[in-house]
Amino acid sequence: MKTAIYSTSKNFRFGSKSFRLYWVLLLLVLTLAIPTIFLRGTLQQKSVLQTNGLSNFATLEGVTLGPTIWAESFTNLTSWSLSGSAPAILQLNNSLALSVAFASKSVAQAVSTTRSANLSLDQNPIVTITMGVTRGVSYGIRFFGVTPNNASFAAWREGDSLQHRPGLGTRETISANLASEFYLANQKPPLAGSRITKIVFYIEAAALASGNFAMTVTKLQANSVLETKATSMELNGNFTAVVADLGPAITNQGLFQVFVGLDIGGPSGLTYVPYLTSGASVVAQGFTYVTKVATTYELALLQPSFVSSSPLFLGKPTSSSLIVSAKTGLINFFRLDSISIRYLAAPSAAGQILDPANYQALAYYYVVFLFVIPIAMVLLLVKVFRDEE
Amino acid sequence: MKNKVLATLLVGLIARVELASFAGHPFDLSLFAYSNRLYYETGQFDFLFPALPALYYVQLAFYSLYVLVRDLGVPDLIFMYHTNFILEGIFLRIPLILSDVGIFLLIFRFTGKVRYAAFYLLNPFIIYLTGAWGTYDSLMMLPLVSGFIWFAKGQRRLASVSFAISGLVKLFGFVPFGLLALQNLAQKRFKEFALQAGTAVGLAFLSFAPYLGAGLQDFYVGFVLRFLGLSGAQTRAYNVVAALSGLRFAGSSPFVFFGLAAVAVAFVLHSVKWGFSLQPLLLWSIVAAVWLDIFSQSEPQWLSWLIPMSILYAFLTKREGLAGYTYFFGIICTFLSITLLQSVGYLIVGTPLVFFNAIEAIPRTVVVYSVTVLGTLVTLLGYVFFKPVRFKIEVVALIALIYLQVYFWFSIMRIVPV
Repeated sequence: MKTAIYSTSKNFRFGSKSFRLYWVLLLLVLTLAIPTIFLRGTLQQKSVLQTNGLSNFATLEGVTLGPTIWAESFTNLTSWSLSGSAPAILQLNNSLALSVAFASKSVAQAVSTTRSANLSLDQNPIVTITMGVTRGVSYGIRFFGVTPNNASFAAWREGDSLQHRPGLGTRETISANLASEFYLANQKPPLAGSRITKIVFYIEAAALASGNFAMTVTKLQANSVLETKATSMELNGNFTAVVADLGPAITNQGLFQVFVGLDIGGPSGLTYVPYLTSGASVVAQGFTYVTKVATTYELALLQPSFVSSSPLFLGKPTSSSLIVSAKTGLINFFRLDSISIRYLAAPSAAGQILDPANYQALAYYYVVFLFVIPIAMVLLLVKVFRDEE
Repeated sequence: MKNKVLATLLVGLIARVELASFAGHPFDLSLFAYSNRLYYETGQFDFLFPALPALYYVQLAFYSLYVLVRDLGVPDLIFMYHTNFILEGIFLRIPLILSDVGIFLLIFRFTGKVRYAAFYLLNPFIIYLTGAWGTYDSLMMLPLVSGFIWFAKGQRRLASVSFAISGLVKLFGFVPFGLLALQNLAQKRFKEFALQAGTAVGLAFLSFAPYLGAGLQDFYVGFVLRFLGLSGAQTRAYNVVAALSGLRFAGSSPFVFFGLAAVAVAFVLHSVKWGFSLQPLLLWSIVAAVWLDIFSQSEPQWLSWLIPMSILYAFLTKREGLAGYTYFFGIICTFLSITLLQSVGYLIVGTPLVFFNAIEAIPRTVVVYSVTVLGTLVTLLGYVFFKPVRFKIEVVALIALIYLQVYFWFSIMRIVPV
C-alpha cells in the first residue's frame, strides 16, 4: 500500500505536466457539470413540449374483414363501359382484360373502364381488387357515388395511394375502405344513405410513351367490416388493424415525433405500419415494422415526414387515433403501453429570408471552406514544408 | 514545427466554425436540439434521446454554456430553413470540434508528423461531419484513437477503458475492445480480462443508469436491440447489398455477425503468429469497419472511422501511400455523400436543394453512392494489405472511372431494377 501511494504521488507531483492536465480536466468537468445541474429547466424560451397521448384515451377496437357483400363475376359485359383517347379492347372471361394501344403523342393519354355498382357506405364496405398492369404505364382506381339527396360525389383524391400507380407487370392486391376514401376526399364523413355507384379503372401513358399495354382484374369484391371493441388497452383475436381512439383531435402544428410503446403478436411474417390521425388527416406515420423473436414489445417512432400512405381504417372524425395496420398477416394480440407526442416550435418566417440569387454564392462559400482551403493547406504541408519535418 | 502545427490548427478550426455558423443537418440537429431544450426548458430528461446516452450527457454539459449565454439576454437566430438556432448549432458542435483537435494532437504526438495529423484535421470528410453536418463521430473517435495510443505505450488497462468509453458513444469502440479482450484470453491473462470486462460493465451501467428508471422495456427495445441492429423497424440502408437488392434493413444481416466473428478469428491467428502488438489490433479494426460499411445498415458518416485508424496504421507500417489515400478517401466520401445522398443545398439552406443537376438530380443515387464507396473501400484494403506503395494520381483516375462507370450503368442504363 505504501509503495502504491508513493508511486501515485510520484506521478502526480505538483507542477508536473500530468498533474496540471488532471487539474485542467477536473476544472473543465466541474465548469460544465455545475451549470448542467443548476440550469435545468431554467431556459426562458418555450419551444418544446412532450405530452402523454394516452391522457384522453377513449376506446380500443380491432377491425377485420367481414362477410362478402358484393363480388364481380366478370361475365356481364353490359355492366362495363369503355372510354378514352386511344384504341382499346375490353374482354370479360371470369376476369377483366383491358388492352390498349397508345400511339406516341405529345400529351398524356388515358383509357378508362367503368363498372356501375350499388354499395351503401352505411355498411362501411372494404373493396379488394386483385389486378396486374404491364410496365411502362400508370393506372388507378376511382370511386364515385351519390348522397341520399342525389347529389353526386367523388370518393377519391389526387395524391392518394390509388392514383397514378406505376404498372409493375405483376399481380397486386389492393384494398380500399370506401367510407375512408370519401372521408379523406371530402374532409367530412358521408351522409347516412350515401352509396358508391361507379368504380373506374384507368390506364394512362405519359407524353411520348407508346406501345401495347394491358390491365387484368381477376378479383373485385366488397366486404363488410367486423369491429371488436375493448374497454381496456388490450385486445385478442384476428385483426387487420387496431384503432385506438385517443380523444379530441390534436393539433398537427409543430408536431415533431410520436413514440408509441406497444405489444403486438401475430404469425411469423406479420408486418405492420403505425399511423397517427387527427380527424381525416394522417399526421404521422411510422416505419414498416416486423415482429421480433426477442420480444413482442416495440417502441415505434412516427413522424410527419414519414407520411406516405393512408391506413385502410380510420378513427372517428372528431378524434385523434392511433391506427396500427397490418401490411401482411393478421394481428393476434395487441396492447397499447404508452404514447409520447412531441412538439417542436416551427422556426419563424423571418429566419427564412434570403434572396434565392444568393444561394449560389452561399454554395461557393461552402465549397471554399469545405474543400479549397483545407486541401490547399494540406498541399502546402505535403509539398512545400515537408523538408522541415 | 510549432508554426506549422498552429497554422494547421487554425485552418481546421476556422473551417469548422465558419461552416457551423450557417450549415447543419436539419433533421439530426433538430433531434439533438429537441432533447437538450426539453432538459433546459422543461426540466425533463429525455429518455427517448436518439443516440447512446453518453452523447446526451456530453451535449447537456456543453449546452449549459449556451443556456448561460441565452439567459444573459443574447438573442439567437435561425438561418434559412434550419431547425436549430445559429449559436445553438455552434454550441452543440463544441465537443465535436474539441474532439477533432484532440485527435489531431494525439496523432501528431504519436507520429511526430504534422502532415499525418493534418490528414485528419484538414480532411474534408471530417470537417464536413463536424462543421457542416454536426454529427458526433469524432466524439467516438477521440477515445478510440487514444485507446490505440495507450495500447502502443503498453497501457492496456487505459486502452481498454478508452475503447469502452468510445463504445459507449458509438458501438464501434467495442470492436477493438473485444479484440483486446480476445488477446487477453489468448495470452491467458484472465485477471486482466476480468478487470477489462468489469470496467466496461461498470461504465455501461453508469452510462445507462438514469434510463433504467424509465422502464426496462424501452431500455431493452430502444437501446439494446436497436443498437445491436435487431430492431423491428424496416429502415433504409446505404450499403451496397441493400442498394443492389432493394432490401429494406430490418435487423442486422447474418453476414455482419459472421464477418465480425471472422475478424476475431483472423486477429487471434495473426497475433499468435506475429505477436500481440498494435499492428494486428489496428489492422483488424480497420477490416471490421470496412465490413460494417459493406454489410450493415452503414450510415455514410461511419466511413470516417477508417480515417484516423488508417493514418495510425500507415505510420506504424510505413505506408506513406495509405496516409495519402486516406485523405483522398475523405474527399471522395464528402463528394459522394453531398451530391448523391443529400443534395448540395441540404446542409446549407436546411432543405433539399440541387445546385448541379448532372451530378445530383440523377436516378438511383444510393446505388451509385454505395457501389463507388465499395470501390474506395476495396482500394483502401489494397493499401492496407499489399506491400507499401506511394499514393499516385492513377488511383484518383481509377476511383473517378469507377464512379463514371457506375453512373453510366446504374443511373443512365439502369441495369438493376431497384
